[in-house]
Amino acid sequence: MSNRHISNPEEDGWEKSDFPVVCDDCLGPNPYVRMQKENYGAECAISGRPFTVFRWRPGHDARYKKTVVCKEIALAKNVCQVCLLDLEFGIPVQARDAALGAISDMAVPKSAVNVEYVTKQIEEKLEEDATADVTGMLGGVAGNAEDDSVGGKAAIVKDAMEQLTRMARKKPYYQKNKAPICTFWLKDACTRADCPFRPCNGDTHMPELSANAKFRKQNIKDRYYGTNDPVAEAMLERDREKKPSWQAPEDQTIKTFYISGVDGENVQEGDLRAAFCTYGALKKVHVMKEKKCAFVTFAEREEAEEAAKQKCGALGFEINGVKMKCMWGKSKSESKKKKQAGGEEGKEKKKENLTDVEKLEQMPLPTGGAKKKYASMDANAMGAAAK
Amino acid sequence: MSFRRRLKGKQPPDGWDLIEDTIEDFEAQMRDAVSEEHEGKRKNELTWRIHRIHWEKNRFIFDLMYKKKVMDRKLYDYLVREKIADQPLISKWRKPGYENLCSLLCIQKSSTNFGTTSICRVPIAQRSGQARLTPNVKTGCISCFSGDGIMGGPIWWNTNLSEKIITKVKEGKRKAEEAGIADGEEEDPE
Repeated sequence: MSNRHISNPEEDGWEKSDFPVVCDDCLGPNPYVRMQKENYGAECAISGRPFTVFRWRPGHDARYKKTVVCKEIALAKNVCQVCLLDLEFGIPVQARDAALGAISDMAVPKSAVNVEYVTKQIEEKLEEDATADVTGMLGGVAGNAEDDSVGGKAAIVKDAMEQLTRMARKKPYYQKNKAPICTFWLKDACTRADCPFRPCNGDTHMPELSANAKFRKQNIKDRYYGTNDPVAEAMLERDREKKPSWQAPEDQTIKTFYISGVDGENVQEGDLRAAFCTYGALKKVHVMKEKKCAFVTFAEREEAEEAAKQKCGALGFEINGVKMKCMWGKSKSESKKKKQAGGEEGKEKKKENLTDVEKLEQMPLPTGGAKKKYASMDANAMGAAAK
Repeated sequence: MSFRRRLKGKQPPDGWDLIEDTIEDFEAQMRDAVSEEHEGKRKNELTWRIHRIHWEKNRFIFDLMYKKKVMDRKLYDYLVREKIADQPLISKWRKPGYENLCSLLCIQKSSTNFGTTSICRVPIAQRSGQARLTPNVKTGCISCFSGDGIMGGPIWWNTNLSEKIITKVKEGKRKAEEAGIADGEEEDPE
């Protein structure tokens, strides 16, 4: 069959976009990224429609990253167009949906016609309002967390959010942008002078070859629809084994909470007292302004346990707009032991524990690779006028 | 087509018989390079030798014409007309900054993704960590920047890396470290 002439591809359901929907990890640590864009460059791995492909390199020793699904399909599940992980939490779809359970209704049909219909719907909605919550159209997550305060649903949402925060990474994870494996090395015949690929570039970490066999068997469709995803299963398993953070320690003498993120200005001792006294009598509240933390001690253990159920958790709590986290304190004997062990290493560790200001002071001033043309390029000059 | 066949029946200018053997030698090398085995090589590597021989042949003509100034203008024009010499390349070599240019391909901006020239035009000492000794995929030239190179020629993929070049690579690494750019690994986000 000869190719049909298409006068208006967009009318035919082809996607043309200006910017991809991608997560921070896939964009890399450098805020300046050069991207290549190709209209109708490939077929979306889920919907099969032609879409705009973006390709870029997140850092000079990373591999090229490329979008694999179209924008609408990614937005329908709130995932990254490249890695198919959740945009907000950076976890697999299956893990996120399992945590959300009944609340989640981000279903994308599997049959070709229905997928086409859903993508059309999303496209129309985005055309009306570019910032529209398309996941909400299919029954979203984030919107539910605040709206539904009726009945038990709020509690379910809170639990789900807590589990998601627990599973999510706390820091950006750039390991997944590593250079590919050298194909000549695999054949034992790499002759490049400075091969940019693993392991020739000195990076011998190759989970593609060394990881458990089940993790190496993944495909785009399973990961997108959240079925048979080995990574998500392992993640959920690990989360199930984890002790909930509100669970009280065995040592019955512990009645103290450690609270991090307390700034001495917006949150003061009185505010903490007010927040915790509803659970029982407080023995002591001690705010350490410099270390941005506080210790709250209860008089009775039962009351402390009650408070833990409400306040401890991955999500933390909020006073006067300041987000804080609450954890059970450690028993004195335990912390003493740690101190003794730490005393010997203390001297070496001291260097690492410097505050940011001290680190800055110790850092040598940059001399720069290029020749200095102007006084303003010389950090030692302290401005042009000084010399 | 062999240049002998092309020149058949044409009267060459004076001095042609002096360079004939050398030109023929280059042409023979070129024939070998074209019919070379490709096994065990990367796809890009196949044309590298061809580029190098082409460079050397033209450099020979350039040296006689413009460096030693012993070639007759008539003979040079004849070589250009008969496409034995690559006139555009030779005229580039006479311009400042392009003295060692490996090939016209490497300054063709329209053939790169972001409208840049190729990596071999960047001084070795200023390159980023992973690309310091990587040859240009099109021509197999590591560096034809006027300051690098040995005896005024480009550093090819199969040139022996002399002390001088290695010093430059080390200098580049040192400068990158001083500027606080970790070599090969990303800085910790914290």
